[in-house]
Amino acid sequence: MMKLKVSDLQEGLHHSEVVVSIHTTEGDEGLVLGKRSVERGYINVGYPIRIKGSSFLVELPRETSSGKWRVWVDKSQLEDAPEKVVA
Amino acid sequence: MILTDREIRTAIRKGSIIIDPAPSEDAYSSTSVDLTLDPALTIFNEPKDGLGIDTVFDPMMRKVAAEEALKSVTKTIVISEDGFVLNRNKLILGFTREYIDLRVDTKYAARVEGKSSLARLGLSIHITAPTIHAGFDGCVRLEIVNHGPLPIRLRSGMAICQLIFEQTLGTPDKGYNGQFSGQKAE
Repeated sequence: MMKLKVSDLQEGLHHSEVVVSIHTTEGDEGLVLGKRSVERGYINVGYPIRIKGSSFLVELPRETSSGKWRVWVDKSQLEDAPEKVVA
Repeated sequence: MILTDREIRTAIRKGSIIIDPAPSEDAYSSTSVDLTLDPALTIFNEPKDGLGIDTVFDPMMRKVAAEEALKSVTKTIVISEDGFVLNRNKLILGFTREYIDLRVDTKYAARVEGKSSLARLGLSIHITAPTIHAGFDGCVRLEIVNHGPLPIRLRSGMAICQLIFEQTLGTPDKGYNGQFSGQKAE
């Protein structure tokens, strides 16, 4: 499974939450997460939904502040991303 | 399919569903498990009238830090021994004391729903967003509103909502390793 890089960690409204920023191909998105979700600055996003060149469509564990579940991110933002789609 | 109490306990034993701290035996019903209210509440500041200031949330402005905006108009309190009195027609944000983890590679999702005993008093615990998707982990945020005729006293640790677990038909894309099996980045 892949891990997505997150940055700008800030305290959330509740002590169990953290607010992070993720870098998508369309710009940064804010995301509220459970603190336990973040390990070494990465979150688990499962397997890719689609791959186009070096861009990966991934599903986040929660909606972003603008209401998105799935976002396109560059491969550089991912750990353990697959190299290519099997034909 | 909705999971029964037996299926929920089996999923917890297998680690497919995590509820921490674990619910007590009497928190279960045949098809749900009760969760309790965390002492921390987020309260909206009262708007000041007559200042000519118009504050509006615009959720579609992605560049605005929505959570930061929410922080600027709220404060966090801890429920005291006497409880917290929620007045009529007021919205506050609460959380479950329990941490929930629905593993991404399992076939479980859940819905957070109110309890009829509290609904009868006019208390709702979510606003049109009950779904806990496969892969969620964290404490569940509750949008608590008193729609009733009288103020309602909320107490830390009270059973505030119930979770109903559902088994999905198949594995979602993000949990399915088929077409990308065994391939790693260099």
